Amino acid sequence: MNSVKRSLIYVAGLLTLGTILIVFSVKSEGDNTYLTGLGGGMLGAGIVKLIQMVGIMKNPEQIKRYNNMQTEERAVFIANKAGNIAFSVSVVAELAALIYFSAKKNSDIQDFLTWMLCVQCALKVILYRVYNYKY
Amino acid sequence: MKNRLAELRKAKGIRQDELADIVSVSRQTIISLESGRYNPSLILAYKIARYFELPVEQIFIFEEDTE
Repeated sequence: MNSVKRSLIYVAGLLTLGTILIVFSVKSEGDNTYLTGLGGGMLGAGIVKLIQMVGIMKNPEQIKRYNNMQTEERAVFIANKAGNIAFSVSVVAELAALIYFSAKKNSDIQDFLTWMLCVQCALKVILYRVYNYKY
Repeated sequence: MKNRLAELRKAKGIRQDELADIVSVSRQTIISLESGRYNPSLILAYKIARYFELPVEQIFIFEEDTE
């Protein structure tokens, strides 16, 4: 699938999810301002991305350049490096949060964070093994 | 890794974005290659060498060879 199609699917996802969140927050009771904000942010980002993609799709040269920028080796290298560091930092942050909520004796959040950490680390190990075998 | 990319590109009279289009990368990648901040993969190195009609070793200089 080329990058333009992938981006259009991403835009459709953003717009759909943003709309669902906003509709849900409006229809449901209670304080859901954070859902409205999140939905509005997704909707805004989707609209901006859609405008960008419409501009790109008008020009075949722009489409080619966009595809190159998304799939070229340096972009993939940078995305992988950033993703790895972000994963490591997020695991450490979750561990710190787990220790904090353990001290506060908040068992619900403790359980949730413990499961999150286990699933994240297990997924990383499994994916590493799969790609190690594949390549 | 050092390289002669900027020198060869200027000698051929083409811009960075033109070379980027020819080898199917972004202009930022050409800039990073020329400044030595990024090393190309084998495929990209061969594409560049094929464009300049030179062997890869005459464009990308492995550090030990310069000592």
